[in-house]
Amino acid sequence: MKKLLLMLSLSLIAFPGVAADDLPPPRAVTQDAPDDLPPPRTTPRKPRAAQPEAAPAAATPQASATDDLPPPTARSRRPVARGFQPVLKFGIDDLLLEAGALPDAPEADSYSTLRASAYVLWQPSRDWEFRAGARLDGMSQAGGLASHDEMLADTGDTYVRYRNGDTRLTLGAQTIIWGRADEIPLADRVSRADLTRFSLDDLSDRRRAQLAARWEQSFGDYKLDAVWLPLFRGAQLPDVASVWSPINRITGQIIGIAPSPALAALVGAAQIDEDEHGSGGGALRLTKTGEPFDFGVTLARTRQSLPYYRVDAGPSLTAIHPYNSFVGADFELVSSGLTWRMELGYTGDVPVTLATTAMDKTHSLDWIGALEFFPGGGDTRVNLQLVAHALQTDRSILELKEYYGANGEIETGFGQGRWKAALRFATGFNVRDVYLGPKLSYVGWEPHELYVAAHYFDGEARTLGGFHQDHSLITLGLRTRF
Amino acid sequence: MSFTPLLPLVRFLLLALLLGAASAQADEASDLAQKVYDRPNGRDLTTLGRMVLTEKGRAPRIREIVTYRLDKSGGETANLIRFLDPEDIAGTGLLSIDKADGSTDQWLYLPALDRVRRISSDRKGGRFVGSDLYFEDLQERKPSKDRHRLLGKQTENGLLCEVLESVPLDPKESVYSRRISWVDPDTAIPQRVDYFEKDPASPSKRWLLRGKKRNQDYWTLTDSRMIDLESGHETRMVVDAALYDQRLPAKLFTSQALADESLESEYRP
Repeated sequence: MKKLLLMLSLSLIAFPGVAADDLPPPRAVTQDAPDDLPPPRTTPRKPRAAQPEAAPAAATPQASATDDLPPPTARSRRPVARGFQPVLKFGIDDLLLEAGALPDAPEADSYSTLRASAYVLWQPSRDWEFRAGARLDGMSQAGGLASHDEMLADTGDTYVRYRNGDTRLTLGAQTIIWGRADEIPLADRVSRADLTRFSLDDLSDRRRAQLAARWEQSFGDYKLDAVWLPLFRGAQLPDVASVWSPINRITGQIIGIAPSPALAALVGAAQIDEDEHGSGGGALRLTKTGEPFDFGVTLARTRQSLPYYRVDAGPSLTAIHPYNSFVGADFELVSSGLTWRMELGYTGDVPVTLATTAMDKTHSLDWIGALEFFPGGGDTRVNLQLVAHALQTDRSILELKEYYGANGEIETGFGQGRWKAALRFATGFNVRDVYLGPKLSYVGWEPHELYVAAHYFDGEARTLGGFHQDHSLITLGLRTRF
Repeated sequence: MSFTPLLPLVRFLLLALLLGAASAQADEASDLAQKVYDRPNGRDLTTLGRMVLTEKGRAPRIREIVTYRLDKSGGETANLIRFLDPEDIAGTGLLSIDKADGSTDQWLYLPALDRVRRISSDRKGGRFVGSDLYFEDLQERKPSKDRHRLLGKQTENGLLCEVLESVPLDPKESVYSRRISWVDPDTAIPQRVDYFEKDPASPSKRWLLRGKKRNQDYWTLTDSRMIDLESGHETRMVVDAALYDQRLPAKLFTSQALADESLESEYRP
């Protein structure tokens, strides 16, 4: 019998359902001391706080939800949605102050930037929305052969928008960035580039608003996006004296074109013009979001805002923006914890430069394959993109006929999300072309960002890194919005 | 009289009894986990709230958010989260579709690019906007993904709670090696959850319920906090307003609504 009792006792100890020894020790009650929750921020987006309901019996014994909260604003006691409410918002949606040092540039020792963008948004009814935006861009470079100050005023997104059911119509200056890949999406055919700071900024900051009529129509998981550019505007270019100008008068080079003594002489003496007249064309994009993957198809007959410099008599270099045709497809899916993105595009009527400096046209094939993942499922994000660009011509041209490379970004947060470290990079496979952009940011002082960053360029002639290899930059900046 | 001839039979009966009891206990534990999962929460729910990130000696950081949840047919649940403040993340949205098979589709809306991006939901251990909440904490974990057992009863928040241990059946499916929950059996509401990661003996994080409130016959967890027990960093989640069963339309949980804040804003409480 003793054996039986012993066996029973041992069994009970081993029995998982009554594992009394696994019960954690009681928690110290002092950990529940209420703290002081600051009041909600005053913002146009601020949610309306709830009126505490008189139901003390229902509250948990230790604390009520609002014991140390500020008194909420009044609201209806009936549990109903607020419904449509007119919206009037305004603010500074971007403010950048940045000081930079150019250790190797003959043009300047320092390069500083001021960028401010303000907006007003009014939505008087469910259907209508009005937005007005303006921006100011100031650049100053000093301490070299080309000291230069520049201040530009421009419109931001300024439009009238109409919504009805699954339809959205927008008319006015707007920033439209199509595509799936980061940095250089192929489907990005209707945006206006901003080259005033070359590629120092993220993609969204390298685009500007331009006049467009846009029709967005949803059909379940599908969306049709039609854009017409009634009045074309080329990319916002920096002054030719800027270190970020696509024409370098000191070295006599044009970005993307093989350097030569003849070209150098031409660039040094030529007058620089821009031809922006006329319409920008139109484009259609059909996208689907949902099972089993997201995809898009793009058809465009547009003028690209990035200039092609045509050599004219005079001599002069005229920035032109010829129409070209684009057919593209893209998709995005998640598999095994990885996000795969791909874009494929065919572009017709791409301007190229013959050895005689005369302009010719050809077509190109482009491909981007991107992979985004979070190693170990943690806070670090890696986005790796492979790119391929091939001009389909047998003629001798001054541009690179083929370019194969990789670019992307690695970013991580630490210090409870108060710090961010990031590295943007790009490299060529078939040519030496290097860009490295490390950045360390303090974002704990919300919504402000303080950062120190570097931009390193290196490469062969005709590559972007090669063109700017003397313009590696170290910066200290503040970015905010309010 | 000797018991010797009967001993094998008695042993067999005791073993059967114990196994039966163990099975019953396991069932009871699973039932409790299921009860917590099935706690009435409305067909749809909209909340306005704040997430407060606090560290000793530093000013708190506050995120204001609106969330929408819709239980769809076929066991699918859709969630939309929109950040309202601070300004540097305002407008950012996250759309999650938790499917019946346990998988999740997720899309992130980035206002600066005006672009909807599909993202992997496997980023379970990533911190949600720098908080103490992992992305996994935002997902509704089906009870069938864990093995449950009852550890006993203990008082928490002044309530006598069932203490429930949950261990992932597939360790790769979760950041946590196990979770221990203190569940009020009357309401099926956890009062406290301890999360274990690498160290099986010491929890790395602790979730505590601070307040709940009855809204439209449903319990709303109006105030809770997640504590990083190593750093002392804490994320407090306050629900300022909650609205149940307002018949949220399914089109609110599409990429179009994710990319256009005005489509959902009129459903806010």
